[in-house]
Amino acid sequence: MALQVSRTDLLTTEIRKSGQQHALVMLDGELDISTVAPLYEKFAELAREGINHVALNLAELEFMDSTGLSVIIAEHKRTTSMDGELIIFSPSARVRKLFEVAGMDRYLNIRPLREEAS
Amino acid sequence: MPRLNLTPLLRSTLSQKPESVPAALESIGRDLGVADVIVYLVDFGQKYLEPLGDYSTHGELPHSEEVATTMAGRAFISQEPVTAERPTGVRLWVPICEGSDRTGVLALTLPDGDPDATAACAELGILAGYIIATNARVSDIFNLHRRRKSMTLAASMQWDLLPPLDFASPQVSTAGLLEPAYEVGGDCFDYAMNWPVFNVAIMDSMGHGLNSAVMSGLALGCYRHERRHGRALGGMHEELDAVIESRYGGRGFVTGQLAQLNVETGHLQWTNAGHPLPLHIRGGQVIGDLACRPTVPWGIGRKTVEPTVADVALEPGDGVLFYTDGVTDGRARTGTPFGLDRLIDLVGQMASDQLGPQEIVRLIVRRVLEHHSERLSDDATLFLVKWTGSE
Repeated sequence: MALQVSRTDLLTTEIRKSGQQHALVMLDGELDISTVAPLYEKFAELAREGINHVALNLAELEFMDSTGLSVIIAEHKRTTSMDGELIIFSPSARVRKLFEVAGMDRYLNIRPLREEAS
Repeated sequence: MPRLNLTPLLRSTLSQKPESVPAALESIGRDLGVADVIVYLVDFGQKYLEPLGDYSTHGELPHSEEVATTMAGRAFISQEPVTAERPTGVRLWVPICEGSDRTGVLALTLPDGDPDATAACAELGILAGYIIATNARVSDIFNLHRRRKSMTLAASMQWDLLPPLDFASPQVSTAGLLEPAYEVGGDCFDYAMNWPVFNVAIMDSMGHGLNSAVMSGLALGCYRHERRHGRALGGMHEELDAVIESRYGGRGFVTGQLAQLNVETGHLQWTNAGHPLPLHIRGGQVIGDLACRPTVPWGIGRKTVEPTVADVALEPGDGVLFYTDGVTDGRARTGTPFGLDRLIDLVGQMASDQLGPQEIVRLIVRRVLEHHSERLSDDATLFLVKWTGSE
């Protein structure tokens, strides 16, 4: 397992890789037009390494806009095109609302908050 | 009764020298005693009126006039003539419109406040709109005069895509605005009055800047192409998805809505590609959103999901406010978003049943900009459609 943490002042990205094809990505802070660029780079890196199963934990993501949504859609497209998948965990009510407005709740694989699961 | 003298204008080919426009208007109004003509064009941000350069002598040196605080601005906002007594006669400011699009203001001096001459000068403002619109098709000078500051390439492309911001007919009137006007890239809207159907589209290309502006160009071109083929809403919706997906391979997305309003009956239909729902305004209040189950944004290429076409019967006087998420969710670096609640409250506070669509969207945009200390992080677009009713 490799651990990689990067910070901009508003978004912290933590990536745990396991095996050849799996990664857990945790976002903490705000994902919007001003913080989205480094995340695109991180995902591109995963693509180069052949990682096609990505779990994206959004429990600590406080804010997201449509630019953030766009990077997530792109990552969904990428993983599925590589015969893998993107699973999104624990978005807050606010972030979940954004997925719903964009019609993405029926398209992406979104798992609810841990408390609500089971 | 003195009249406008149109013969020289109609007999000659239109000059492409912008500085000759004020002189041409002065000669058309010569029999009325029109003098000291200044043509102002509104800037892209709709905050200032910029004088068109000309070589004639003026009593006062023409300079920029702020829309919010000046006589010229008052004529622009009210779309009515405004007068002031001067030692040399009566100074008159009349709106210049191209059709119903507010282009600027014409300032001139008349010997006295004769009501017939004033009315004729109001028509001179309408004529000025047509002269400027015709010349602007073959010249950059008018576009350049409307710029207060330099514009990004994306914004320049974006403005060239847009239809006139305002439209008015006895049955339906509309107005749209985009901010930040000089850096916009990604948001756009379009409309077409194909009697009895008024067609509307609002679009937000994800991302920002040049890539988004290029994607908007494709989306808007595709929409117009399909619309001109007479495609139904659902078909246009699916085609947009297919075209953007085929060009961007799933790496570029556009959210938006397509709508059609029958202006004879008030029957409104719309589809929704992952875009914030339009607001339904009645009696000066937002009475709810216009729900439509969203498809995913255009460009993801989900051919299996058929778009839902929602519909509602509007009542005469109802408004429909389309907007992009930059209005409600955009933030300055440290600020809070403007928010949907604030937008709804604002529409309710401004007696929007008394105001025209242009003033409503202009005031909302002002408040959104003030909220963010004039610095927007994302494109913010508003497009308001008001159905007056048939007859």
